[in-house]
Amino acid sequence: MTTSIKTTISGSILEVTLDRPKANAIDLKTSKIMGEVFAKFRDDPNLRVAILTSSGDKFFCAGWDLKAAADGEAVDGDYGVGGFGGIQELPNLNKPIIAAVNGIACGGGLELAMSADIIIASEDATFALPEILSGTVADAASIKLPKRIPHHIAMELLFTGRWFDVNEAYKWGLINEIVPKKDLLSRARKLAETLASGPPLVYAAIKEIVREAENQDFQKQWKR
Amino acid sequence: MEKVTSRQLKTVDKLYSSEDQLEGARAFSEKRPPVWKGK
Repeated sequence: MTTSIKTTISGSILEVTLDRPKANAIDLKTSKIMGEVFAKFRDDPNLRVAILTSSGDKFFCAGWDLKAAADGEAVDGDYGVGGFGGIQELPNLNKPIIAAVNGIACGGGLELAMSADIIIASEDATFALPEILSGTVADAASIKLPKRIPHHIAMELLFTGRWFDVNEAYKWGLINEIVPKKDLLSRARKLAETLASGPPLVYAAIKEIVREAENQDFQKQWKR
Repeated sequence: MEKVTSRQLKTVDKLYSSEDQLEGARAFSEKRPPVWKGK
């Protein structure tokens, strides 16, 4: 396993730490590794809950690695079994995932956080979807954001690429909790323990039902 | 999601092979404001 993704297991809880200085940006290779990590998590009956966080002080994840892009990686290249960041398109991922956002989450980094089930964020976390500023589209966010926060706010954030802070994210219901930075991981672990003590079959059922409902909605719109 | 990533939406397909998308990436790396042409 390369050093860009660190994993630790504590009981039935998997902690995945993105560690790619300095912005924790994700290139194709990192994305593929993340997909493998989360596929293993999905398939290991001893693991019940995952926490996704990042190392470093400033960034949770800056999203797609623009340096790799400048070196020729295609925006629609192969991100591996789980799609960008390893979670958002991983089939049958029926276990709870908590994102512990420890800093800037922009572009694909915000989409990555949004592919978790629960998002807690440190007080200094900031968010943006700046894709439009460099002439591209935040694809996953264009699908998900207008469903998760008020439509007009989502459109504004997608159109302008502007920054917003944790308080605004919390106001729109995009994140579950704001936590002091020093307490972020311990809070995530506590939450993970609570979830790990719950019934795995019910989590699986909830996640499949929610996924199915979202997909049907998308299919319906597609056929219109 | 797959419909989007596999370029089944016309607007997305057009964007991904557009001059503007290249211009956006270039402007970003050159730290200058992008000039959009709509093509």
